[in-house]
Amino acid sequence: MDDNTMAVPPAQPNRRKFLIGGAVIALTLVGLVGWAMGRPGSTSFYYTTSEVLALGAAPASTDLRVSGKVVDGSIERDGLTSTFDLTDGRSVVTVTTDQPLPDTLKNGSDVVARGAFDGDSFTASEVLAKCPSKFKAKT
Amino acid sequence: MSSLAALGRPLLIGGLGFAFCATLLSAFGAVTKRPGGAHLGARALYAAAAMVAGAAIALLIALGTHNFAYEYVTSYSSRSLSGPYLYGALWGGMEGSLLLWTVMLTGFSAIAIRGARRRDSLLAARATSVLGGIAVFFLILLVWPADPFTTLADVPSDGRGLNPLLQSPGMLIHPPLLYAGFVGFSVPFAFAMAALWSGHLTDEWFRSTRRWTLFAWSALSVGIVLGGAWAYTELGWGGYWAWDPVENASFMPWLTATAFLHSVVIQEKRRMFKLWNVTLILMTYGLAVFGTFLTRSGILSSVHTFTEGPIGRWFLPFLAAMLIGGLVMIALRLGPLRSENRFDSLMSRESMFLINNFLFVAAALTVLWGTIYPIVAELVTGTRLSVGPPFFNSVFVPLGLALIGLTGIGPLISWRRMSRGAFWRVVRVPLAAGVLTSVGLAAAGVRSAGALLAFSLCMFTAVAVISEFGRAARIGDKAATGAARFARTVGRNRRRYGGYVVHLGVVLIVIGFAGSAFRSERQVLLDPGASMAIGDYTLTYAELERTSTPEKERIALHLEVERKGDSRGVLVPQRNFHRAQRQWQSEVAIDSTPIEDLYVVVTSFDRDGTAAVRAFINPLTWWIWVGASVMVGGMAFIFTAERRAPVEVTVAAPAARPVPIRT
Repeated sequence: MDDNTMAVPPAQPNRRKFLIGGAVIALTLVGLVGWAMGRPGSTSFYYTTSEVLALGAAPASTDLRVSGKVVDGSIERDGLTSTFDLTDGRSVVTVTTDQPLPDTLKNGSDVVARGAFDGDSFTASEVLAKCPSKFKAKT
Repeated sequence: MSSLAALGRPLLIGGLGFAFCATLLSAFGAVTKRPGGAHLGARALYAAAAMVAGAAIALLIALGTHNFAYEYVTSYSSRSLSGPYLYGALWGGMEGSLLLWTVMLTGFSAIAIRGARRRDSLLAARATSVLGGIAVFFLILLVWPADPFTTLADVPSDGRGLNPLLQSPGMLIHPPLLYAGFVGFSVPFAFAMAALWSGHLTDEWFRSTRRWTLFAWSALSVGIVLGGAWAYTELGWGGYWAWDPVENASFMPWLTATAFLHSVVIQEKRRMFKLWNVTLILMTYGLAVFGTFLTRSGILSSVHTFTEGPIGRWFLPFLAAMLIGGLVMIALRLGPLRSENRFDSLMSRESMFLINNFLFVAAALTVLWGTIYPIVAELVTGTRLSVGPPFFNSVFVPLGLALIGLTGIGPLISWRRMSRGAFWRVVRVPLAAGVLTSVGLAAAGVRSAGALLAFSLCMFTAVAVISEFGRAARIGDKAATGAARFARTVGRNRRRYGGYVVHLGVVLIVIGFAGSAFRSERQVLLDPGASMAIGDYTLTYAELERTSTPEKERIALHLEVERKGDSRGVLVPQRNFHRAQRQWQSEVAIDSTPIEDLYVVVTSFDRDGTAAVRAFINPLTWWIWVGASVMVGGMAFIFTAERRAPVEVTVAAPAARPVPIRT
């Protein structure tokens, strides 16, 4: 702060008020972010199918993401429920979901499923598909 | 005609050469104060702009003539593609997007420099040098790692076509608007850097680029909303925003730019926040470039499937150089960046602006944190994780509510200081309206505390903003009519009242967001003739219609809709099979009203005609698009203000409106 200002009241008490106010807001925001990080669903771990199988039915397996490629010919639909197999090339995890499958989910496409693993099959509440081959130039 | 496309690459190389010359000549001209050098530098920049535009035309010709010798044309278009989408393929892929980016960069630079040279030629010369340097970076990308004119040895007979999802009017204008927003900030950024470089830190750098800032901000705002509208009407998951890294990439610079738009007002009126303003524009442009890096590097997994090109690693050194350079320049100019005034009181317009800036920047940093946390976590702990919408929503609901409340309070508070009594007098009516809204909604059965708070704050702010317009009708000539006084006051303060209109639009958008607290969803397998119920609606499977064209096969489900027994006509959600891409795509059907949207999508059909129908009730979503239109109206009104608004000196004047000062 420089001194060539116009006639203003002494700044010291004022400045302290601003610093306290700023600190209160900053701490509130940091607390807010910290609290939000800990809320259920805020962060979830990302695993390959082999890692999911190694994890088994651990408590940590209730909210995670598994990524892999859809095994050829494994997509089946029964009413609103669909199942498909995901693989990372070494192991296979069967995914069951009552959510609609994305239109881009096909044999061989890259998929991220989010949900819970009970040691046997993966129940997904969200399925995202990527299909890089569609958009990427193959030469 | 087709052979003209061969000029593309030479034009890009020429553009690179001229951009390089522009950077050096302008810097030389500015440092040695030789107008000749600066003049040549500006000329070189115009030449670079013309050559890059020529290269873009060459690529458009290649697309238009189906010249599949070019890899880009093969990858993103096909013979069946026609009309706007054929040329829209210019930004269908990474290389073309970068070319469009560079066309805008050099074009905007040329226009901005031409205007600025008349006012302050040395500042303009330095800005030319900065803009030329940015253009050199993008042209290097275009000439080497992301060359859009790469040719194929075996020329295919047809291309792979454009992703069908991108074949919609929203997608045609959404990317160019976002680019215009990102690139538009190059101009205020370059002038800020030029001012730092010269050491003359007057207001000239943001005054002469004010319209560019507003333009970039408007384009980014509209681009973001259109992206949401596109997701809502095309993707079929019932929402418009998913906190995906690519969405976040556009949202972060928007947040800091919004902070910047507000904080320059303080510098203008009170000669404060100078250091903060150059920091904000550096942050904004840094985040815009970082956003481009995020979406183009493949470093984060995103549902937006972009080509994971090899250009990601080119961005980090560029970004680092820009940020370090900017920070060093700021550090060297701390003296001239000092405030000429200080805060008089916590209860003042200035401190409201300060809190506004604090919250916007905190919001941007929160999004940044949530977006890069997966990268940080993987580097530190080796585990891969992702940060989901619950994190962002948990932070943004309280932050957004605080900001919307501030939108209402801010304009009511006078500059410098305000007494408690005066504050109470201006705030009591909006406050009463807000409280009444809460009571009324609670009586009507709304139980969600968050929604009650949101709607009350919206009402508070709406009434506060409208009361500012009411005040405009009372200021001025006593003899004139209220309407004449209103027209005169608003006409003379277009930026201010245009800003209030934008605020009203934001309030309407927040009402739409708050409505999502009451969202409901149902999934049903529907046999022909059967019905399903959701909310007040009954949907009945009337018929299935199949049509076939050379491009696609279309299956349309005709659903008769009734609301509380009254017919609302027929909704026709569809599924299309795009033959070229061998790809199914759902077409959403929406019955939109101000109260709620009935949103229906068919996710699959069985051979016997059974359809899997997913329906959503999205309350108040309509208001988001209305609010966005109101915002556009406000922005347009601000643009009608004179190019360089006269300096409104309120430094010495005690307050914008007479308020008894109690010390």
